[in-house]
Amino acid sequence: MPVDLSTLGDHELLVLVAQRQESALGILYDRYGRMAYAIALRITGDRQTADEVVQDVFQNVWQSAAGFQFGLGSVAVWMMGIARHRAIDATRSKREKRRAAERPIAEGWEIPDNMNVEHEIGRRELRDVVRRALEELPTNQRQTIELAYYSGLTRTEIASQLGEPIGTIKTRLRLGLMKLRDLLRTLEPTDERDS
Amino acid sequence: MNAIPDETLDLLAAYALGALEPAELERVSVLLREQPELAQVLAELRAAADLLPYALEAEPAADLRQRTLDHALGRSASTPRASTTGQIWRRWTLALGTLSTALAVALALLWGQLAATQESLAQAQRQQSQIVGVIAEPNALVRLEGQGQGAIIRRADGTLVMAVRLPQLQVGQVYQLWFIEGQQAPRPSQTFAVDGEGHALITLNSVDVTRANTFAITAEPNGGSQVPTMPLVVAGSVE
Repeated sequence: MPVDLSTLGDHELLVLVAQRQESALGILYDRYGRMAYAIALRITGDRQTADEVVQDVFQNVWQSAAGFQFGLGSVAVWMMGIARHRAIDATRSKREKRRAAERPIAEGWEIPDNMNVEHEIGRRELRDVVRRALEELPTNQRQTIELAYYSGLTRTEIASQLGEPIGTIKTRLRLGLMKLRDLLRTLEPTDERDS
Repeated sequence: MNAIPDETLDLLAAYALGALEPAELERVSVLLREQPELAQVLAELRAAADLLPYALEAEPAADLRQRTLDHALGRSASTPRASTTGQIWRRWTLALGTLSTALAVALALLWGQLAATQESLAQAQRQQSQIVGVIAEPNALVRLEGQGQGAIIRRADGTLVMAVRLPQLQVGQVYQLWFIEGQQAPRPSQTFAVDGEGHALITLNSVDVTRANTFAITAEPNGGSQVPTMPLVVAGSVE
């Protein structure tokens, strides 16, 4: 009986990708394509660029899977790191420094046939927890963290953009991220079924 | 552990969020060497930062999955090979009308395997030819030299393609491309691996390339880096 790839963990799928199994790459897309797109759209604010970033992310996964060092981190974090870097890179290149226009959540959107529903429910729960944690931060700390993480700005650049002293920005990043750490301490991302 | 000074936590938090200036990165390296216990704090902060994407939600276009897989696998068109196989199979079925169904199915399976193998071999040969062709292209936009060779060319359809022949990577490393504009710090670009011959053929985002006049490749830790942490493997400037 053929193996149902959707039951495999991310690490196992990555091994199959390294062995050039296209369907394994498709399963990784089903798990993380939407999140890669969301982060790319959040950073670039442009749907076409976000599409290109997602395509580059999975091309990178296809080409680099064999070099992934297991045990040093999760596949999900690795992939989202690629998406973030590529999106920031594309944004800088195009000088699209405008605030990204994240599409509002479409409640009740249709779940594609190939989506792993169990995975999707877990991801939505995680999304809600992370959102609640972010909402607990003071607005200026949240804003500063978002400028750093999603816009790829350095502390100096954030200070310049907000017209605030550099010391204020340093403090906001420190206090904001430490509070997030405390709120999310039990929620470190793990790979699907690999934990 | 003694209380960690705010200045140190400032640096670690900014590092975790990727908000340090290139010149500040060395300070974090020094801190971690001198106070290894800070690695745990940094790991916790990075774990919190790594969760930020989970707060986002956006719906990609329905056809993005197919376009992404086609792009990743280097297929220019989204026509799956299976359909081509299917069309040919139908012709074979007509021609083999007098054979039993069982024999026809067996032949089809055999033909499918042979066709797939031939297609894989042909695809590998095409890619190998492309790589050699790009590296040898006399009108390349950029020539990469060093511990390997490479070139960047613009194809007739406007796409920019980079082909390289590089040393094999060590375990846990990926090659990373860097764009450099004038005297500015290198901008990180995509990571990639090489095949058994040390070859790779990469399609570049022309928007990314526009402002860069120098290109460099390093072997970075898996996942890539925000700033180069390893020596240059190859580099070259726009000719």
